[in-house]
Amino acid sequence: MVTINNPSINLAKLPVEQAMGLSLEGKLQYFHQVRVNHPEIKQVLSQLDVMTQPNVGTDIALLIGPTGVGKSTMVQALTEMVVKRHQEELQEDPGFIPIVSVEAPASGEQGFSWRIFYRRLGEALNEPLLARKQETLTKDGRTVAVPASSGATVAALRVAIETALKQHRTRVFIVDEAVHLIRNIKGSTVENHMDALKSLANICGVKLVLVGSYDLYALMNLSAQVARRTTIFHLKRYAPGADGAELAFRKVLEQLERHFPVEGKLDFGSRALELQEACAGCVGILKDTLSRALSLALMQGRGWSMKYLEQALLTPNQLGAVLNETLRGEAQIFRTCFGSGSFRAASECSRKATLRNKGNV
Amino acid sequence: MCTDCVNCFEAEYELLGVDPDGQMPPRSVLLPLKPKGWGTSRRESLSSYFQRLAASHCVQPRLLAREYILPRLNLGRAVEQTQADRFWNSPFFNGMGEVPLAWARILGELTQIKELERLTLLPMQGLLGLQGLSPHRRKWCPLCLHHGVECGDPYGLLLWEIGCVKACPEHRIKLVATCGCELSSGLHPLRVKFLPHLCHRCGRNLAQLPEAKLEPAEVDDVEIAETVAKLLGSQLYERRHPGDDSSSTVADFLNEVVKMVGYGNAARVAFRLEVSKGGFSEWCRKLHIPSLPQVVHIARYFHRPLSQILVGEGKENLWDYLGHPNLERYGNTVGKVKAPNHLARDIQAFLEVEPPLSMAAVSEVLMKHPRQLYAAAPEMCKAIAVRYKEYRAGETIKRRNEGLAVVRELASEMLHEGITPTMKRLEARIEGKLPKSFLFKERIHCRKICFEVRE
Repeated sequence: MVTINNPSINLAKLPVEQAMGLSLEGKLQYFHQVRVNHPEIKQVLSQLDVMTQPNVGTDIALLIGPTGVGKSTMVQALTEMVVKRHQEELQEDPGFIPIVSVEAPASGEQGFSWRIFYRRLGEALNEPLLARKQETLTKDGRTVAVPASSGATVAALRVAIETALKQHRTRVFIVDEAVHLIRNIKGSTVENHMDALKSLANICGVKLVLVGSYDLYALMNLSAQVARRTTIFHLKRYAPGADGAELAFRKVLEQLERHFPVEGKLDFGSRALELQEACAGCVGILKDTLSRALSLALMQGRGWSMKYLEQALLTPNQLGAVLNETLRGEAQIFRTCFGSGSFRAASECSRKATLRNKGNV
Repeated sequence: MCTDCVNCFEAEYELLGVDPDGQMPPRSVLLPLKPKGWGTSRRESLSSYFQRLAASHCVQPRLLAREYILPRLNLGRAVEQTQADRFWNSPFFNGMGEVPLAWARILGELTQIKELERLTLLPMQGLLGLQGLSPHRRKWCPLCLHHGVECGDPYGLLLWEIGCVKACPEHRIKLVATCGCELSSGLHPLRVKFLPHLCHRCGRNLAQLPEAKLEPAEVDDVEIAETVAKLLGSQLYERRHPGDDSSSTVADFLNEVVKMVGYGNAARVAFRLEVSKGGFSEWCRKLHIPSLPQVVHIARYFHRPLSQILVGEGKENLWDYLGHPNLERYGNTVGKVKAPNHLARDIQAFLEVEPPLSMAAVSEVLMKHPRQLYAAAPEMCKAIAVRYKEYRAGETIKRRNEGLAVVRELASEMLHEGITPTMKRLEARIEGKLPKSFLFKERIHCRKICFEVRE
């Protein structure tokens, strides 16, 4: 039996035949690392790719989608694409980090912890001695270093991160779970947070990609400037009944089935439609469901049976919550995501705004 | 996309994270800053590079050294804890030896920048002695720093980290060693606490020194700085590695000089170079390596670039370049040394040289032992010697008469002032006009003059 000593090893590269020889934990880890690219990701990725190029008039990109739709997979795909494109430069310059991804922390504190956020960003940028960053001040023509004896201040961390982003020539900066930036925060603080992020992006010349659920849409209403400079990308689910959704979902299921490390006849295809409904058309939920089913099958050790899959499905309450949030979100961002603009819609919007304004006067 | 084609399916629904091109290759631990002035005479020093590296990571250089460099030096925990300061303060950065080599290697590994040892004097290891290599004080050219500040990235030059360099070859001013604050008198050369353009004690910008404090450098110092700067920008400095074979050294050049110029007599060349015979002999026998100031002196004497002399090259046409300052008084004969077969004709030229030369001087100019000259043209040599003897005798009398005239004048002045001229009083007044020894030598005549004036 093949054993996995190094948890950081990329098991996704293993052929499924070899994965069959892994231990129980190894098999679970293997399937966890299997991530499938699919048409919806590809479509959003190509749009995002254009918008993250320099000088395209977009500084902030919001990547919004329902829970479990595959936003993290999307981030991975974007990272892979950027890295692949800059492979030559990466070989030439060992300090070049074209894309950096960090999860916005929900630290349990009352407000958003910028200290933890900057430290995570610093770690992603390989910054050394994050706790000992020093601030330099110039007063009366003399430069003085403020010693970092009791830990780095937020200002020192911020300066260090700005310098690091510039030095590493980072182009794209992804903030996953960006909704933590605005959750439980009141009033103008949200604007301040956005300003802090926006200025970081401006100073360092990076494109900011905020990833999160539909709650993130609230950022668009902060100010006209933020709205103007922000583009929304909607990562849609394969909703049952939508055009081509059934086929795409089936294909994803097929690919996952190929890498499902269990012996015996699986035949997920026969339950494809039901699974699509049970997972609300979200590939991430499908993957989690299959992972739970795999775990059950391996624990029992009696070979594969469809009952494990049924056991692993979301409960009606869970599914209801997911669907409610998703449907509300989909309705909310209808006609606001990238590519939904038209001359006709613009003219109508302009006319309505003028009338509303006249009415107010 | 075709619905059932396996290839299209694989392409459309590919697995992520399996393409090696999509994986970020390992990145450097520290930022791979590009050293400034690479490959030129204005190359950056390793200490300046380390300062800039620490500043780009927003940490103190000392902290970066303690956390990243010292543990990799394998000093052992006890040494690290007790003697870390010694390793930090000792002159390890820009010179030669194991410690600079280890620093350059470790920094190279951490930043993935190759050949950082070229920011030190390590490429010259085995070719230069250590004596007088490191400076006792930190020094810099404020104008170079000012230019760096204007360009947005000031840095310290390796040239400033060399002991014998006292001037900036570009701006022709003396290098400065203090920023003017009370704390900075005699800045330690290696306390790399901050940035290259800041005083580590008061934080003042070292590029903003008042222009009044900038002094023009001595011509000699500028020439020395230029010679060393050329070495730092030479191909030799770019190509040589610390462990390279050093079988061809300055000793080969000196041996050739002894053979060609000194006719096998090392003492003669040592005399010309104004170095001790013993020391010179040890250089020639490769027992000792001359220090940088000594090699610079040799290079300037023979008008050769350091990069040639250090690897035993530049031995051709030595005759053409002899121009020792001591020989300048010989006028046109300097640098016009002929081949030995025209010796008699050359000696003849000295019969009419004004002022006449001694045979010793003629042999010096012609690069021949006086015995060889006498053998080639005995009559002419005798004539030269006699002519010189007469000239010297005449000169002596002339000088004596001039001296006595000055004494007489002084004695008369004293008498006019109502002072009776005596030898003691003359001695008090004579300073600056004649050497005191003249009064002693010519005491009989001087007493006589005093007596005559009094009468």
